[in-house]
Amino acid sequence: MADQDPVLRAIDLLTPAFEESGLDELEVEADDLKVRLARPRAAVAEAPALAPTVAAPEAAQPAPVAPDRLTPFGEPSPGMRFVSAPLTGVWYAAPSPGARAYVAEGDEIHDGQVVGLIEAMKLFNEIKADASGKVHRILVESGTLVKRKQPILEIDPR
Amino acid sequence: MTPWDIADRPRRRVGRGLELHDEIPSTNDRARELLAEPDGEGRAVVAEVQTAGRGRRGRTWTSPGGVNLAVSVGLQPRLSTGDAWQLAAAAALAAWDACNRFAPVTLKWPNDVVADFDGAKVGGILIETTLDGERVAEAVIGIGLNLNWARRDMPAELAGATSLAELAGGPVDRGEVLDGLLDALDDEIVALEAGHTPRDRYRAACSTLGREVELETGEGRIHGRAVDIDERGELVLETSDGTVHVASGEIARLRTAVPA
Repeated sequence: MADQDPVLRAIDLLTPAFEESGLDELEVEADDLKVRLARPRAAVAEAPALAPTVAAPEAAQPAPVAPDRLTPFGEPSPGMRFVSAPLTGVWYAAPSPGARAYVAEGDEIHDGQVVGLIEAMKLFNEIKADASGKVHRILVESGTLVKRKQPILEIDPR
Repeated sequence: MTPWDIADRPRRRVGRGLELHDEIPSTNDRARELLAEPDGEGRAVVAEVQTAGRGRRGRTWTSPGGVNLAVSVGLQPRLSTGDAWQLAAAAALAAWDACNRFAPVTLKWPNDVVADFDGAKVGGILIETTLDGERVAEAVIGIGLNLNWARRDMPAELAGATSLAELAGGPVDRGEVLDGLLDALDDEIVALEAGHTPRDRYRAACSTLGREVELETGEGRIHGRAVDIDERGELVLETSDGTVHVASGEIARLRTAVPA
């Protein structure tokens, strides 16, 4: 369970203070546990929001910690719902450079409609909306990295 | 008789019949169309010339007729969205295996086939999928290989590319390459759908690992030493700022790591 994992517990405890601190990096070491929180640089392919990175001895970290478990994405506006990324990769709003975007803010979309592409390992994945409604906000800029479960669109469902 | 006849044999999932075209806009688009037709799944679409062949992000893929191989296959794979990356690794391994029967090649992350001795590009792979929630609904695997294209005949923008014939020291039988490729891809897809990840074999074939790389991510360049492919197919880099996992990017520069 996530709340029993000492690494995750430490990150949960440290993240609010780190977010308010204005620091670029915070490293805390206690016993055999070492946690480092760092804001991503543009050149580093990490989450666009606060992205904790974890460094702990092998014995204390038997399995890699999935970054999407560590990155809070918040809640949609009241009455709205998110269309989220099903996998990590680069988000493309249009089928090719210069082409018209699949969807724009204000568009009515339907369940199953292709709303964009996510590329990982030269594998271009068409992403479909999982609900119908009006696109209220597009939350991700085309060409930027999105993490699995990160909201891409906020829609006003019907 | 066509050069491809030898490859027209029954298979389980990939290469269940050939569809040959002298010229077509895009083999990937045709393979996708076939998914809506009876018995269209798994059929290999081969074209001598593509008038709208695609590379990565709108780049065109051009090739003169009669010398190379462009083939696409559409599948409705039994695969979860989280494992979609394994299609890229499986296709890369199949291309690597087919080419290695003629000349030594390796894989450059994510899925370029390159010459073992100087890293010149022999071919590449473009996969397009449609995701339906947590499963991959459709996948089209497109593979382009330079086979009998002489380096001196390649356009200037392909400087740094080569062909299998250049590496083998003479022409290769294109039908034999296709036959080996479809066999290998068939084996890979059957294994993948049975739950066997290609990760370990991909790591063994990927010459990017152990090297210093500069990676263009679209959000800037990352420099580091490539050390692993993680369980999501992401390239793991050791950088001066720590370990970074990269899902998408293009290697701009690659050199052998200096021993520590």
